[in-house]
Amino acid sequence: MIELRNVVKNYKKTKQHKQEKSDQISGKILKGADDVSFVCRPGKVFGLLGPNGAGKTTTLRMISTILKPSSGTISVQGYDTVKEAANVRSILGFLSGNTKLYDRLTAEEMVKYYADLYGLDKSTYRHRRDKLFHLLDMEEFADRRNGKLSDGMKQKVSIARTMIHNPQVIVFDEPTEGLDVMTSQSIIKLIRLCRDEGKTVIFSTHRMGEVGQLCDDLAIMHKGKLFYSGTYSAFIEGMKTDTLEDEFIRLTGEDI
Amino acid sequence: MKNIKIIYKKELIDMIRDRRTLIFMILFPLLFVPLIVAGLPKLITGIADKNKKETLKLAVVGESYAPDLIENYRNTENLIVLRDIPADSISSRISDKTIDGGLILYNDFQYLLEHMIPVNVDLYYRSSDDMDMKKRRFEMVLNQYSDSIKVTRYNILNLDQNIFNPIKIQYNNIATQKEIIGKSAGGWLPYLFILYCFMGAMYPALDLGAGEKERKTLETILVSPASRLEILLGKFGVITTFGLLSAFMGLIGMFIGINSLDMLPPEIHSVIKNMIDFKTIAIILTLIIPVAIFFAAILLSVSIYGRTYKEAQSLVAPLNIIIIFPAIIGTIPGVNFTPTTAAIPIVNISLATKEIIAGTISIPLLFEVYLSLVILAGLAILLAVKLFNNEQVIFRG
Repeated sequence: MIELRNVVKNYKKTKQHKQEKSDQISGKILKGADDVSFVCRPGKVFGLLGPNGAGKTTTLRMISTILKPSSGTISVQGYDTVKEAANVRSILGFLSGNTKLYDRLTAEEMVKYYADLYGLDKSTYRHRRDKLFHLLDMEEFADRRNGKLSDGMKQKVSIARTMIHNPQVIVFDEPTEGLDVMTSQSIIKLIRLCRDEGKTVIFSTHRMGEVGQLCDDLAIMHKGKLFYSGTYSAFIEGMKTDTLEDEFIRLTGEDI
Repeated sequence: MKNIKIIYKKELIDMIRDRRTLIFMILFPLLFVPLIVAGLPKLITGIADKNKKETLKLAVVGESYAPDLIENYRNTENLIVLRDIPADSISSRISDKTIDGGLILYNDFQYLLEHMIPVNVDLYYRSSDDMDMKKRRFEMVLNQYSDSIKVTRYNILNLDQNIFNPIKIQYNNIATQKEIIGKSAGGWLPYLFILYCFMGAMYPALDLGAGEKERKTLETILVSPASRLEILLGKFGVITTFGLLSAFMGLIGMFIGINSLDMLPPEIHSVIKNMIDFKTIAIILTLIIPVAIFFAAILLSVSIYGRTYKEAQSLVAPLNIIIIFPAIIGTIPGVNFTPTTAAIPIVNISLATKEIIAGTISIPLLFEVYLSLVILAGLAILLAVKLFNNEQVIFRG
């Protein structure tokens, strides 16, 4: 379970921000997340929808303890992300376009490295490793260096890295971004598998199609603010327009 | 601690597998250093020998006014005297390299000599990059001739030439050869160590900080259970290791270089070999350890701050000068090892090493050096920790 309560994240304005005119920026501060609250339930997939710059990555980085909220609290499986950050990270799997692989390590070494950091004993590692490598069809390139792998293979190694410690909570930040259809499908399959195993899954996307395909629960963010948080079915029922895109525009008052 | 070890091991493998590391760490110190140490003196003596043996062409105007002098020139090895060259073309001929020098003698030569009045002669040459060897070779014949005239004059005047040397100094230098070489050349030893240490640490630091940011692998490790401090210390350990290894490789390279120096007199060769003994090297290495830690911490700080590898590289460039410059100051003769200089980091290593090699090190001052270096390394680590915990720096973009 992930619970966000009135989470705010302020950034100091950079030169680039100063040139932009936005209601996200006030004084010397840029609001990356502005009073965000929602709950992700176990066994459910939570979709965080919003365009680039909506605050999705900031929110997910705060959940995974990489960033600290300026105010408000976040708890992951009951652990506070600021006070018990190490506990949070030990039960969490995080995958994003910014969590790339070490090119000079092999796929096997990469996964083993993270297994060691998660403190997995030899037999648990062997068991988890064999299961994931089989599931993702990775044996063939297990001894190849990551730098020599195709994008699809790399994504598989990243998934194995994320899942090696059997995390209870999984955070995916735009996991299908820039991937081909086949690789995207492997991610979508994985998200469903995690849900079926009773894990808490949150993923961000700006692709409306993925939301319908995967989400049980949904939050819509735009310019750091939350515009909707609830079940996907309730959202669909309450729609006043014909498509998700139109509904997004209606809610936020802006085009994606 | 366990996580630091895991991260250290992984970063070490990662760096060893990078060819650029091997070039900086092994190829440069083991190949280029011996080449520089042994090759440069050989090159210099080779050029000097060539200059000595080169046949020079000297145009003489007014040969008949000083036949004895010109005879001396003719008897000089590798020197050809040319006649019949007009005085006004000497300069242009030297410029176009058809001749190497010109000597103009005047018709009052013999008269002035006989009357013991200074004689003027004009020597033309072109001062260039050959250490003025040509000028010196032309001059030598003139000086020898002048000396012979002096002896003749002493005899004519019935004078003992010793009366012109009222004081005769007997030089009694109590410094040992070890001390002399230690104090004059000893400063260069740590300079090389510092240079290799910095170079060896630079590449891994850039790669493990800004390089990771650029390759988007930093966030991968940040979401692992390892704390920021553990990640930092793991990386920092690898950078320090590479800095020290590089300094050590430089030392081996220097040994190879010195051993292949066959042109040194055997006594100096043995002094140098004795100078770089195990104890001396061990003490110098203990000085290098805090420096390697300092370099690792400061380089990692800069690297973490950089948005990209390139930006970090451009930030490191001025650092290069700031760090290497004090090392050079320590090698300048006249800069002494005092309580003040012992407190200045890097400068103090060069100075302390000179004293260690010369065998004149003051123990309290040596401890002051350690203290200054440890404080500096500690401050640099604190800076790196602070930056690595700063979200604005980690996600600077």
